[in-house]
Amino acid sequence: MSTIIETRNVHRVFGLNGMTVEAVRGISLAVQAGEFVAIVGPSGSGKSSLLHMLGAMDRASQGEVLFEGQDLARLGDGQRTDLRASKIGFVFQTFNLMPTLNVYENIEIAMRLGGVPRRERRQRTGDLLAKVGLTQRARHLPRHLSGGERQRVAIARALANRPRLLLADEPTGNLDSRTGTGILELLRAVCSQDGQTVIIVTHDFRAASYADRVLVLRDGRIRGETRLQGDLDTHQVLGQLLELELG
Amino acid sequence: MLIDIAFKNLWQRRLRTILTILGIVVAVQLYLSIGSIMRWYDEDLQGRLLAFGGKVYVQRLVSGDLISEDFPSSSSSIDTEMAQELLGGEGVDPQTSSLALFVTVERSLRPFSPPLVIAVGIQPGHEGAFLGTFAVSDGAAVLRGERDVILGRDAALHYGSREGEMATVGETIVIAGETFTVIGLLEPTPTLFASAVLLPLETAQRVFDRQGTVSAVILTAREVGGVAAMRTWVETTYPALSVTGQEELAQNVEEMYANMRLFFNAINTTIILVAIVVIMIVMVVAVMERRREIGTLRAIGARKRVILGMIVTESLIISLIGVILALPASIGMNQLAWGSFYPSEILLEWLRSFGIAIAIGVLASLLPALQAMRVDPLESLRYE
Repeated sequence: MSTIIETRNVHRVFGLNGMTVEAVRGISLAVQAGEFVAIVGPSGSGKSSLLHMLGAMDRASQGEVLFEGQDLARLGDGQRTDLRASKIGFVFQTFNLMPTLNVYENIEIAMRLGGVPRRERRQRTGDLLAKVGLTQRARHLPRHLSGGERQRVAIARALANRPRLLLADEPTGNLDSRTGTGILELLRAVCSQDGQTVIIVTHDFRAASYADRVLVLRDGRIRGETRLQGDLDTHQVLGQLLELELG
Repeated sequence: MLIDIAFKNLWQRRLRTILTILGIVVAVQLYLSIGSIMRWYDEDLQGRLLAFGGKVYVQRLVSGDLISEDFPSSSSSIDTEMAQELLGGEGVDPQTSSLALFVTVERSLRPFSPPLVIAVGIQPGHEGAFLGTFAVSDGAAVLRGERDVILGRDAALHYGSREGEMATVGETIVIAGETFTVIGLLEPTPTLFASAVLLPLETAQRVFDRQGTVSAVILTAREVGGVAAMRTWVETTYPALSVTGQEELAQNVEEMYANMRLFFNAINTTIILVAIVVIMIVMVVAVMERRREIGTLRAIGARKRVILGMIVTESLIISLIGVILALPASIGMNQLAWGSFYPSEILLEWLRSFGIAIAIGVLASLLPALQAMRVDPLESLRYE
């Protein structure tokens, strides 16, 4: 397997009311193509800041973020935008759908921005709607959908341009546990069946248990890492993660 | 381009959009109305200038009078005796010249407009001295009887027995308490002539209590090219009198028109600025409200120029719909204000205002578009 994204001693410092806050303190990691990685940690541990840098939405204060071997720091705003349009999909905790567009259009817009021809857009949108089970809801506006349905639309939108990397920031954070499980199963299927690389950020160990590998962050540093075996039951996985967290 | 999204964004906030468009309709309608007023003045003044070709008006202006503001002057006063001397002056053709008395009968309520009705006392048989190239289209062209009058079109409308109908030849009308018979109607003319009621000079002097005086002497040169010599003679012989020829009139009219144009242009510029500010405020608020949406678009791959295009498109949609709706509004308002309209001219002006609408739309969107372009993709991650 090839490395799709890598960080080398990455730092992220924010200025806040005259003080500096170091959210990420020298993280180095590598994610292989087709891997499902969960980054867990409490609030303020720096996991979202790390995700934003991995998603080319924010720049590292120090260190390197390499996407397919390319240093993101060397890319201009336009190139980073094009990278987000074509190779990186992003799923938000609050779904972030366009309120004026219906489900179909919300999925299609990512392809319009990515320059996909109209006929292909129609084909792909139909496939994605079927994949997330929302074919019947295609003409509905987001406000008429449940939280779980909205997140499915957001995932379909993130997958629309067939990105190499799918990033999800607390994808189940605004959902009840049953709906959340459905979303995590969808992400798992995207990774296992389509070979998509998925990185999720979560503070929920149950969500992390769907990953192949779990990184635990605290105070901007990686405190531990574990690879979860597919044949473990839920209790064993949770135990392993808890051990890592307490570690 | 995200034109459909721009439309949907506007539709989502439709009350605000409709009110903004209404503001633009009012602004463009005002712009068109002012344009038609300016055009009307221009045509009218050009027509008047043509009629004064080859003539000079000799008047005694009261201190403070400006030719440009009141021509011919109704406050000017020359003794009839002196006026008769002028008719016999060097190079003057007495057959085509005349003494004249001008009295405002009815003032106009419209701003910057000449009187609605002006009585023109003229020597019978010398009507052409005042009318110049304009002719009588219906009835007689010479005032034979003491109580004969010839009416311009606006005066005929004013004295018509019914609203919107012109007085006709043979009809009797009452001016200053006295009854007159309409013997002729002028062809369509510029305002000064359209509002004129031509009546015999002596009758006018008696009716308006101006016995022994006239307002002006209208002199025509005996020979072609003799106007300069004729006016030199008048200026030398009667230095207290004021001589106005076509050139001075053109110059004065141009000065007046320049001032008026400046005034109307200032109003038009203000209208355009107000329209720009109105759209700008609406778009700035819209961008502030939609920072998260714009951040999301940036996060999923919208380049800055796409965001710029979306905001400019929204602004253009508002201004262009405003211009489209302004045409019927403008025709309606013209009809109400002037009782008539100039469809072809308004149409032309309206087509021109499309260019102005595009400029308004683009200029108004610059600041909000710049704001929108600066929205960071990380804005998409801010929670409600």
